[in-house]
Amino acid sequence: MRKLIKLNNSLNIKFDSKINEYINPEKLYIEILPNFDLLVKQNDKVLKGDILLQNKLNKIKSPISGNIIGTTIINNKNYLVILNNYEEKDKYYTKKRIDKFNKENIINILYEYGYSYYANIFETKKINNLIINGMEDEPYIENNPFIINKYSKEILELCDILSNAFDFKNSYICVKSDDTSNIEIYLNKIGTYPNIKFSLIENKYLLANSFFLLENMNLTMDDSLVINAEDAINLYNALKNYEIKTTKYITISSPFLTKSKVIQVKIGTSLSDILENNISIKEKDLTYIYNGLMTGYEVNPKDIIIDNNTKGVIIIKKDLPKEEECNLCGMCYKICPVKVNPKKVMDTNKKSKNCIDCGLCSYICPCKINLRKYLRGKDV
Amino acid sequence: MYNVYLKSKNNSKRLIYIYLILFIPFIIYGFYKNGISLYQKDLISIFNLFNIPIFILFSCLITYIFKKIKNEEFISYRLILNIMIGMITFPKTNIIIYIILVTLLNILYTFKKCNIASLYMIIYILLSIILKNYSFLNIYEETTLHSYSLINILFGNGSGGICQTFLIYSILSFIVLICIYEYKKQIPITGFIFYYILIILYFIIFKVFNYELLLNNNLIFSFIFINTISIFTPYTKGGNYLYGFTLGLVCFILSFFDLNLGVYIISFILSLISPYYDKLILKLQR
Repeated sequence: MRKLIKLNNSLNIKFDSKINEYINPEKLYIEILPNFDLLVKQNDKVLKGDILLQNKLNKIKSPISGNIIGTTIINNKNYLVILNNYEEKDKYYTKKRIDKFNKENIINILYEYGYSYYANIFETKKINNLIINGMEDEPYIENNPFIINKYSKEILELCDILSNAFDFKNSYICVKSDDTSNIEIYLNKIGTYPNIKFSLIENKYLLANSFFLLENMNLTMDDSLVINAEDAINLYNALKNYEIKTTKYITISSPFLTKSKVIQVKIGTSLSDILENNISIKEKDLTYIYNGLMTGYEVNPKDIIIDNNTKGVIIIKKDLPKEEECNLCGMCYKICPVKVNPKKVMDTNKKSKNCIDCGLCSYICPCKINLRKYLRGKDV
Repeated sequence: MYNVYLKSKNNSKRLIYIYLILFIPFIIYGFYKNGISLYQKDLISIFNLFNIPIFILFSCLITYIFKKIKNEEFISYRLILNIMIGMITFPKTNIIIYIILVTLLNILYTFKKCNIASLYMIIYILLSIILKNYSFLNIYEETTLHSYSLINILFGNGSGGICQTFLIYSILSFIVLICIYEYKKQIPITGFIFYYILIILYFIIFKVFNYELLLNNNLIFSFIFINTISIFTPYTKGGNYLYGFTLGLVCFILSFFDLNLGVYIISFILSLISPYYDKLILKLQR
């Protein structure tokens, strides 16, 4: 078994117990990606779900209803700007009542509502094991645990629907072994679903990653599917409520906040807009770390627009220890879960193709060397 | 720029602090055995009584001077090496020669980081051989006939460096160090296994027995402390095993000539070639 470690969580961060919402921003920004056709123009009125950009493979839909007021450039990227009219009017989708959740119906709905990744897997692969991942690897990011807590009924129902439709041999709900809140909820409810198992996973870094989670559970990637809690609730909303994905759950955490938060926001919201309207920090000279302290990077909130890859932002005082000369302890090489040699990469300046950018080498180094810089390159 | 904004509690100086703490009983015992005890027997003057504190203080002073000149940290491998020189030197070390040698070796260390503790002993032993003053015994041990039992040798009556002979404490220190994550335990463990297997086979085959080869203070101290200094040893596990194997094997071979000199020669050579062990292991792993 791979040797993984528990991270040192030394920041004093406390979380609000509920998920907050910020789903009515004044403006949204949709990135105009290259190789996508822009189907709208300035002053067009759009409904929630209207296709704004498309190519042969993908369609990008509007998360809100409103008016296109133009384009803007943020951080060297082109964005379409939509002014919210707060009507939340949906584009008409097929809302024919589905009597039975069978394979064909589920796959069709998933394709229609933009979940082609999962639809394709269900269509082409024989899945024996379904795992709902209610964990996060990054310390101080709490999206999945909060979602799996708030939507426990929906997630169990989704597991049941998929399990019955696709004949899974095993269904698991996974949470961390020290997540007492979720353990309590699921131990009370899991009895209603005898075909769903509740699995406690050690609180070690990288066990929320699908590959390492499956390895830890002695399952193979060939016949197993891991769905994050956030994706699970989105799939449930597509199947039961015919809703497209318009929101994202993000974490705003900081030792300077009385209570850090998990917030549901609209995709396309500006991060600075979210911070202005949801938190209040008096401290100055703070650093904003996007997507986690281990695998994230420093950002200016004005340059960040929430997209499907956003997990959250951690606000800290940048106080990195002074780097020393390498003392050949070999800890970076011992700790690497994929057996990359960070010391060799640092000496030869040749990046490794196998590196998964987990940050463990830089974390463990007693000389506080920023090995990630060599493994990933200097530029963001 | 990419960085990791969460750091473990690991500290590059942790092992250095542990070494320094473990050295204290050695120094206290050495001060008693080669200082107080000899002064009480009127074998040394009051000035020579304080040889050991002078050696240790000079080691700290020279480290401090180079810290100021080169803008280095005081708690560093340089300090450990200088203190070890003060601990492993001969009981009858001349203070002037000690000061000159340590200063020159620290200047060398500034330009080329090498195991100056081993190098000091190689130079001092060769000088002693030339001056026909080669002996790890103190004045009392030289002038009296004695026959030490195993218990005597374990509790400090064996021959060795000025603060090095507390053998049972060396073994206890080793047990403590094995439990430290940063300590490269593969080197002394492999070294001891190979050396003792070979030496015991030699004793059995040739029907000889020699406490000096079995419980040699220079060998044991060198394996535990000198050959596990991180910057002079491989960083791969395989490299450490290979280093330990070479150390044990060559010490066995050199025990037929002069084990005390041999252990420091091989320690010094291995400290220079240890990067090649890593390259070999990484090549084999590809």
